[in-house]
Amino acid sequence: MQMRKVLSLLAVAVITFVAAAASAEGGAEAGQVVDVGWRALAAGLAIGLAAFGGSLGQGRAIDAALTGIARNPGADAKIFPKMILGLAIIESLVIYALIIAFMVKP
Amino acid sequence: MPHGVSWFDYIFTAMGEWRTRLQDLIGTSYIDRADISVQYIIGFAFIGVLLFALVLIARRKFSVARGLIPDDRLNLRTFFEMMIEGAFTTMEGIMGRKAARFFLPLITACLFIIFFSNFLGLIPGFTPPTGNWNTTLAMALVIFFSTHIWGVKEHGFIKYFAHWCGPFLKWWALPFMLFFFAIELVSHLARPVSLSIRLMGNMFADHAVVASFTLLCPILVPVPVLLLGVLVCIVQTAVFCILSTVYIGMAVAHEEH
Repeated sequence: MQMRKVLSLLAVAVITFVAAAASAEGGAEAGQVVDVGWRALAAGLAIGLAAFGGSLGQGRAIDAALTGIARNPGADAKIFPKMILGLAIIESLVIYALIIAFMVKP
Repeated sequence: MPHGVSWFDYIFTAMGEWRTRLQDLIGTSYIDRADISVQYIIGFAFIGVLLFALVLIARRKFSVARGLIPDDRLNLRTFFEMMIEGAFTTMEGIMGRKAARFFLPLITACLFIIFFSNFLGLIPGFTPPTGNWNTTLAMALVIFFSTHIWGVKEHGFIKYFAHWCGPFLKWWALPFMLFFFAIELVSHLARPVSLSIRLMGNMFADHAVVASFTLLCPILVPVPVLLLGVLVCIVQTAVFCILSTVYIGMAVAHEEH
């Protein structure tokens, strides 16, 4: 029963998106980009998924760093720069997806 | 101020003909076939001139008779001393003292260029010269070629590339060696791309976020975003320099098995 609800909701969402994209196709000017709707969808999905995964990863990194500081408050000055470095590297993957989103967006 | 225009454009409209000459001289970018806005070049040249002037001013304080004792206030000389000492301590932890002394000019050059370029972008009306892939790719390629050239100088050509073939160097493990070599090659090629795009993406996205918040409500709302921008600027310079140090350190290191 639950699975059928989820599937029907998913079907409605897919049909809505396809209809919106098709109507955007009709609304786009001739000679311009014909796939404006799909490109907007792609850009939104790219940054959305990247932000989702990136924030989960950064949450785990901060969790580990805060646990280390809580166990040993004297190591605060040593743990904190490494946490910032780790966060920046995780964030760089999200930034790559943002670049792709800017390249793709109509 | 419309998108893509900075105060440098207004300075250079005074010399209109020189500007078109400069634009024709620079032409299109090799990377994305788009017209490079002149302001990135002018911004980068401005950073160069600014750094040169700042270093000359700071250097004068060293040659005073009591130049050995550092001041207790934050002036230009102590600012430079703080940054260079921080960079040297970090590099020494990664590369060892001798290599850190040798590579300190390269890494601190990158450090100061990126630091001042990022902060130039926070001033309203300027775009950061590092917000453009050409600038950051140039710096990342310098680091990339440094790793390989100094690695070859340190280890010798055959030995340096033999390290890429993996831990087993026997003839009967040739497919494994080739596989490992392919993985190492891809990871090495991805390094300058990742270094440059990380810096470019952070600066570009930060600038775009500040711009959109300013469009929303120019009164007080951009201030927290600008504070976040300050943090991003500092962290991105540190990340670039620490990663460059790690790459060069890994290329130059002598490992004792």
